[in-house]
Amino acid sequence: MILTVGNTKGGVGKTMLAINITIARALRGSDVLLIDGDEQHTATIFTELRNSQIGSAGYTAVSLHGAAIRTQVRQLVPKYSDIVIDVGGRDTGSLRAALTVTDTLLIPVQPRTFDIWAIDQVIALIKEAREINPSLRAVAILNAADAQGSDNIDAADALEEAEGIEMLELTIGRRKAFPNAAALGKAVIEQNPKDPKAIKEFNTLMRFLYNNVTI
Amino acid sequence: MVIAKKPINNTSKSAISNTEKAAEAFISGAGNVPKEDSKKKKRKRPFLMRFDEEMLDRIGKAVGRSGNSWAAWIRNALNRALDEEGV
Repeated sequence: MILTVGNTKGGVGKTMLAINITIARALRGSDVLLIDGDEQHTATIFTELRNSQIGSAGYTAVSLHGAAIRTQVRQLVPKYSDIVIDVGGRDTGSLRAALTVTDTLLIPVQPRTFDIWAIDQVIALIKEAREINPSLRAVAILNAADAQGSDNIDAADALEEAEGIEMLELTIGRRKAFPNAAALGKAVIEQNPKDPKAIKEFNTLMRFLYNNVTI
Repeated sequence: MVIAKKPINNTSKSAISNTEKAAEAFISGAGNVPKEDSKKKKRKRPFLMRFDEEMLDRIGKAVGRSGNSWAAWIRNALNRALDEEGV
């Protein structure tokens, strides 16, 4: 499957989810290609860290930008069982190129006002991309959500109105386990001591994405 | 030293499919996201109504069990009722 983790809004946790998904698939035995389409190259730098900490990342990472993402992904699809693309932060050629070839777009959204406002821009992009890639599936998930408060519900309500996007009932909480693991070149599921809540939420997302388990 | 000629792009313009042209145009349009026509958008309209406390308590319990938001639960319940009515 080709999965793109993207949003035109920055700082929503795209790279964090992309690297965790990549590693989780690799640990399950998939031959995974991680495409870093973000100009900040965070996924590439993380992979270098992981290589130095663990010896081998367990997946292949390449940095691609713009139209090259469309061209290269179409060539590399037969060679990998999974492709994960990390793009966005704003409306870039890389994000658009990814939308023309991806099966699923996972849109992390933080339950904050500005993030909710930005979703209209993503909807417009998806609508246009579906003229080229009609089977494009778009799924939004509340990410880095606070444990308490009405913001999550309000944000979910607002996103339910978003046309052309499935809103996941699942929420990924704002948990230190994710950045703590990343600082060591690891995914949250590899980190010790384990954070059971973070792992449970993440595994539910993985089952939804890769095992068609409804949430 | 051997100097190689710069490879020529073999994909002639006429050979590029319409989908490829559309993809090219879409990708190069970055930063020019089309604005959604707010008039066409099916925005939900707010609708104010009153409930007695007892019913609100009952709804609150059902909402809690479902894991949905209040708005989603009420909309689902109304949808079911409308389907039953054949509206």
